[in-house]
Amino acid sequence: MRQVGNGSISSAPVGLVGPRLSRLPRWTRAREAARLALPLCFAASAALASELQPITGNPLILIPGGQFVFGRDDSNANERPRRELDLPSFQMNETEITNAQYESFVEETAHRPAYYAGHPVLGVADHPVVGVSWFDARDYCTHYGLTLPSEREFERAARGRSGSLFPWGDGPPAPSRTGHSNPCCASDDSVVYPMTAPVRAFAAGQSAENIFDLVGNVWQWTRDWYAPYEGEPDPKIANKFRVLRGGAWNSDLAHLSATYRLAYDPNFRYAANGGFRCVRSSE
Amino acid sequence: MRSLVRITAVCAAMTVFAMAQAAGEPTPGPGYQIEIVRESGAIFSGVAKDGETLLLTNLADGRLYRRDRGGQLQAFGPVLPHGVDVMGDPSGPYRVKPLGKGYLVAQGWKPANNDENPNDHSLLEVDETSVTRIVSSDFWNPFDFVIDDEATFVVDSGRNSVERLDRAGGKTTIFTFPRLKHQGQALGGLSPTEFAGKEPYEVDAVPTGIAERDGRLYVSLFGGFPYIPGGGALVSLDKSGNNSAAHLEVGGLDTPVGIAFESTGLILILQHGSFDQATGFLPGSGELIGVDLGTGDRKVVASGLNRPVSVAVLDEGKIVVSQLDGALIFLTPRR
Repeated sequence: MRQVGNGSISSAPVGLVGPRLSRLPRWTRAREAARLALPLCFAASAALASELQPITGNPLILIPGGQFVFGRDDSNANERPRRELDLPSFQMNETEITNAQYESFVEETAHRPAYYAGHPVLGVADHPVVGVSWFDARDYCTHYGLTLPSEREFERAARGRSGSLFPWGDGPPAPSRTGHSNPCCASDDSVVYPMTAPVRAFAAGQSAENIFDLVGNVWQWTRDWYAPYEGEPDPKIANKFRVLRGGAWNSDLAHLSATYRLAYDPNFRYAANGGFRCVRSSE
Repeated sequence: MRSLVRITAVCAAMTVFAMAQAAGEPTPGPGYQIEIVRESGAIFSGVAKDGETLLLTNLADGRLYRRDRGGQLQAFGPVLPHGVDVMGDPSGPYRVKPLGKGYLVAQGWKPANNDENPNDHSLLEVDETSVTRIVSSDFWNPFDFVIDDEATFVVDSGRNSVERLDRAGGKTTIFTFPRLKHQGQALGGLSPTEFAGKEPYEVDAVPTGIAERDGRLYVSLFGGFPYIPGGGALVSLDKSGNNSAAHLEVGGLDTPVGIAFESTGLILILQHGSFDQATGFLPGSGELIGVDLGTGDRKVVASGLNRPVSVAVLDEGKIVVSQLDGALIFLTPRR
């Protein structure tokens, strides 16, 4: 059986003096080092920088707070109603977490590897990590002092303030924006990726804040339970499923949407088209 | 449409070898004695009787082995392509059977990190040292085969088909299995947005084991991901190829991966195990059952098996099962 680590505690040896920083989560280590005002100021400022941008190569992008449009009335029942909500500002990873970034986490924590870590296509370093459960994703974000996005945060990032249909506006999805295969044209040479694609492959699909792949490439776990936006959930589904957003490389057009809600067993870790990104949230 | 997918479209039965681990000991069914032999480091796949000896394939080193009556293992034949496939599952020589003065081998699809090899995804004739003939490499993932007087029938678990190869080299498709339909509600526990509706959910049939009896071919259908309980089946086909549909013999099986007929006429069906969406195939969940196709009566021959993949009938009613964890399970009827 592949090892299942707790995902948040480093197994590195403990130092000779001082608090057991190496046994604390990484973001806590940085914060603790700063608090202790170590004489090596350069090291302390480096730690603070690490705290601000804890995932190397995947900066956190500020999404300004304020009112935004959430939900749709002209789509699936579970996406209703459309209304305006208020949301504090938050920061979101520029891209999905990549295989390389997840591998670093695995090395630091002894957490179990992604299910497709060795796959010649899905496991490529700069492709989004796939084959991770909701718990794997949560543990990753927690390790870096972050969290999974809420559905509101995801939708705000993907639709802007005004509730556009897609991150790039209201134009329809195209393979150059989302990486999905075009059902109309098997010979469409704009599709060059058989499965997942590098996380910065689809610049045409970026959001107004220049975030990649909020629709397309891979589905992304959110931190929310699946439930209707209004009213009480059916007891059969209450607190059982987590929501993924954004569609993926193999999605049909109905699923390539900034509002489509995919609910799944959070233990499920075999999806070849399901990954995640993190946010710094005050929600 | 399934929104989250697992890449198993052309994969046969084997999944996540790394998860094969020590589990509870296999248990014999009523009327059987059990003997368990373990070979450290081996990934046993095919088993077949060859006179007084037992033939084995080992996916760990791509070799064929003889096991004599004293239990001694001896490698022979060529080193065939072996390694892990794109899923991290073992690939290599899946099955072996004696043929004339040599042996016939079903060789699986190309290991992910290997260069192309002419012996990949093929049916091979081998002798004591080398491949003597590539019978055909026009397969995706040949998993098992049966030989009769006129032809060899090969299960292609990638194409979901049964292929006939005659002695002259001709190859025809006997039957291509349609996708299996399950009720969506059966998967509602996985995703209420994807599977809770009344629309049926389809998975690949994934044929695995094959056996022949009285002019008919019997084929086990593993069923594709997510391997719902009871999602597998045993079906039969007319060997002539005149089949408008496969005949359902036994339904409600859990990932059947190998089959063999006992001398009594009972068919042995090896069930790979129960699949858990969080952890994969549960250790010790495999089972060997015997089914009377006339009456439908079933009996458990062995349970608690750990990733079993192949079954063969030996002399005097003795049965052997191979497991991916390098164990051979011998079951002997009590007299």
